[in-house]
Amino acid sequence: MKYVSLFRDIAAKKEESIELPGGARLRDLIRVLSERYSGLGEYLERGEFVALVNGKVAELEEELPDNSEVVVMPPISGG
Amino acid sequence: MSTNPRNLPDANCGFRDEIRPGELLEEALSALGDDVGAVAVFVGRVKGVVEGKRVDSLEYEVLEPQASLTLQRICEEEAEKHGLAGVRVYHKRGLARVGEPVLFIAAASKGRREALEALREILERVKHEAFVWKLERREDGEYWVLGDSKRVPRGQASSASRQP
Repeated sequence: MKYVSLFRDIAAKKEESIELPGGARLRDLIRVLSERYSGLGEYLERGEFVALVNGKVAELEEELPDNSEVVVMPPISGG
Repeated sequence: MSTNPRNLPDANCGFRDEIRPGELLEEALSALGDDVGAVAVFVGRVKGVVEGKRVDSLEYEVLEPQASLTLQRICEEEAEKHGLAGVRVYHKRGLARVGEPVLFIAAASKGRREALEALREILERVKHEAFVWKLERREDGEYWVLGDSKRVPRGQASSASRQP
């Protein structure tokens, strides 16, 4: 689990490991993060985030393979 | 002039520590053929005042390799879509001071319409897809910039955490 930008500040860490039951989906991970970090939940519950699973943009219903690397990040602000 | 692996027209995109629009434009122009009649150019720079507050700097955070891959994909897709003869997109990474150029886009085509439309679309895509985030440092504190214009005070963000 990796955090970027504002989300890294909220979690107060760059990365951590989170264990989920087999067959868990991205939605399950997002729920865990929202419960663990209230400041993060504010954005995640409103859909104000982008998630990468193993380097690719993922949808909430996507199943997480074993040992997945997930990055959650706030809305992109290039330019 | 370099070409990308898909043999599309001159498409060079990426992140740089410093954006020098004059040099980049000269390079782009020198790579064009005689059939090109229009080059549309955009240069983004750091604003000195935001919400009435003096800005000191912007810190650009870039997530690699996704950021560079996405810029290159935007270039290739827009070049193909608009039939461009050439496209160049260079984005700043790291610390940028007020007035500093931070984004250079050049879209070249036979006519002005395609070049201008492509320029606008590339700009919007870079702002929303490029895996880049900004930390704005200004006289009243530090702000994370989310999306187009939402700003979150940095200290406020970290204090909202339940777990340290």
